Amino acid sequence: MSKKVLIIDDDENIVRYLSVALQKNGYDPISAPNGKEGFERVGDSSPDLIVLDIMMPKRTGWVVFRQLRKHEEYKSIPVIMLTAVAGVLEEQEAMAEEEPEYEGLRELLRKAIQEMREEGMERPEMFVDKPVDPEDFILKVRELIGE
Amino acid sequence: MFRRIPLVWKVNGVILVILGSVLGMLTYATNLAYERDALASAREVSSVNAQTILHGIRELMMDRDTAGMGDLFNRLASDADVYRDIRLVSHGGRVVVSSSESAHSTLEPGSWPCSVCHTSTDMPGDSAITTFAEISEAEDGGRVISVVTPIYREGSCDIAGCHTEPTTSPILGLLQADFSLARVDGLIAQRLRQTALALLVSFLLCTVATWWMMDRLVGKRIRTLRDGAERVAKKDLSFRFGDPRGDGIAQLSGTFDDTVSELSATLSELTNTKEYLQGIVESSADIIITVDPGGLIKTFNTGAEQALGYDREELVGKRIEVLFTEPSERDAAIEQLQDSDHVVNYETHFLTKDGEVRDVILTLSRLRTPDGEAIGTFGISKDVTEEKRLQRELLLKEKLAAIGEAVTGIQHTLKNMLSSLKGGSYMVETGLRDHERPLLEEGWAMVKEGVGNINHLCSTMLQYVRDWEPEVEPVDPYDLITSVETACKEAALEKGIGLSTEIAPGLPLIICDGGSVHSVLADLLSNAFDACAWKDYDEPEKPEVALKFSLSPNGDHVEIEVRDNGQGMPDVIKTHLFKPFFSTKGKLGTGIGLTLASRIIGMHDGTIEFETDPNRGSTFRVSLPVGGPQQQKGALDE
Repeated sequence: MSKKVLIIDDDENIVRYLSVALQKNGYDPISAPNGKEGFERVGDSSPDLIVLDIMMPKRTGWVVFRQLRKHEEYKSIPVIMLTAVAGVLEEQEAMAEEEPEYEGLRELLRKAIQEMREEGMERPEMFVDKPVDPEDFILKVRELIGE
Repeated sequence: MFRRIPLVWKVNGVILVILGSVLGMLTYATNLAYERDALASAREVSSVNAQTILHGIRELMMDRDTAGMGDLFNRLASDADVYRDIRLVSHGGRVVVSSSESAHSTLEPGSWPCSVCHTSTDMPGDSAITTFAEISEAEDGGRVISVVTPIYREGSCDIAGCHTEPTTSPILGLLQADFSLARVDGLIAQRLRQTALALLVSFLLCTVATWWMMDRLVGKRIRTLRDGAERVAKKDLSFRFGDPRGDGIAQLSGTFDDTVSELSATLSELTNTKEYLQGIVESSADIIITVDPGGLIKTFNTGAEQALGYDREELVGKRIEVLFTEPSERDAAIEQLQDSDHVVNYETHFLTKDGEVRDVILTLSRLRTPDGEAIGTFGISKDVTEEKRLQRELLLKEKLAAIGEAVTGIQHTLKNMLSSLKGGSYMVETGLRDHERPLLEEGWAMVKEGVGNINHLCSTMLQYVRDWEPEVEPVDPYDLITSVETACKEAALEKGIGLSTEIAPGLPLIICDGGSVHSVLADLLSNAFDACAWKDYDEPEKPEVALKFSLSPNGDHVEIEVRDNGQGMPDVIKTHLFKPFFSTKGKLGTGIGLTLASRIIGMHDGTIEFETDPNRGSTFRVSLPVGGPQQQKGALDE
């Protein structure tokens, strides 16, 4: 039985081509167009991996991620977060917390990670930078959940 | 020269002159009376003496004893040196008997003693015996009183037989006795000497006494007053005369003391004020310079020394222009000063001693006396070189930061758009590889969409950077709201959002660029739709967006409100809202919409403001002047 990967993203194109890539590589892709529906889909589809966009209608990726991590049943499901600023995020992980230079989106991300840390949550297993390269993406999926 | 003589001496001199005159006159009068009395006594004694002699020679005349008379005369003359001469003279002028060698000589008619009767109108009577006395100066220099006693004819004279010849004159001759006044004159001279001595002594005593009195009463006090005045002149204001007496000088001293006290108080106050003002000028870190009407530096404070590197000694008295990098800048400031006596925050440049140019902000004030006469210029300058440098750096930094933010924003937007290209090309490749035409077509559509999005981004960016001016015309707000509603209705419907519009009645035409304002409103509505679409509504709340037109309270602005009940924005986003290429909408946004909206409304001299509450919604308010942008108003009126 192929492993289920739930893609939660409002960008139909991304959902579509990642689904094709997953299918072509033997996975079973499921999708949801926003955070709210995405979380609902976790319950009824029991995915092996969740691919989560950050900037999404209804519920942002961070909100969904928190819900997952707080949920007894779902908290161990690995998560790949899609972001246009993944590189920056990695960098922010290492930087001093009081670093004042980052503003706007970066600031939001930094605060989100910091809050998670304060709440004792595990950070997402992986960040993938947009535009997502389908072949790299499959490699990362394999790395996390195997064939 | 007289003016240089001390006052005491002058007053003393006057008193002594008066005293001397009075004493002299008194002495003279006393001496004159004394002399007169002495001479009168001498006359009387001489007359008595002459009568006695005449009586003595009566018998001898009867006896015609001329020799006896000569003896008598000689004896008298030799016994007493007071007799100078005793002569018996006949009526004819012949000296009958004389104690001197003048016997038998004849006197000149009209000379003394003949002149007693022969020039006198007061001719003697027959029986009167009268003596005449005259004081004259003798040949030896001494004074002589000559007593002449006429000898009248008597009955016995006829008996004697001497004067038998008939004559018309009752006078037969005369007896002349000359007495020396040497003793009397000696007494007078002695008295004169004694008086003079007494006068001299009393004059000297008076001189000493008046000098001592005057010096004590006036001189000493005037000297004290003078010394005090000199001390005051030398700024020693501790001196007080303190004269307890109540006379004029004491009153003068009292006035002097009061004046010095007042002067001291005034000077002390003046000194305090001066020190206070100097303290302000000196302790100021600003450059404070005063200049006289001729343009020469008078004051140069420590702040100026520190900022410009000069010692004040180097510049005081020099022309102010030496401090200006461009003297014409100073001329321009002075020209402004002519109009209002003040020049505020004039930006100019000073040259330091080392030749360094400093940016300064100069405030000039004309210094005037209470009468309005210009006495110079007062200038306070602030060295703002460092501030200017920081400002430039900050500007550069802000520019770089803005560029950085814009690049980050563009990169973000591009990355989102590139997903379509990357995904599309993957699908095309996969479709080709696996010979799945539907996958290929789907992928190709995705690629075209991505290209389209990038194309749109490029054109929006161009719109952002191009030089744009609104093309204004009168726009009917009712038409505007209808066209915006029509354009956005479909999108609202598609997203399940309730769009409502409301417009106040009687709105005036708005002078604006209708197309641009339409695009701003459409953009705000689009943002509102997205804000609703992104929110997870709890029943029974529904997504709603309202567009509302109204007139400002003063009637010169049309206010347009776009309100949504969407997700709102956190604080961290608010400050970046109008920055270019800032977007939180993922693939939906380019980060240009609000930046452009802000610029378009700004070009209309309008304002755009917003308020937002996370999870409750946002309201954007655009205020447009009814009359259109200020700079185009005139052109439109023409």
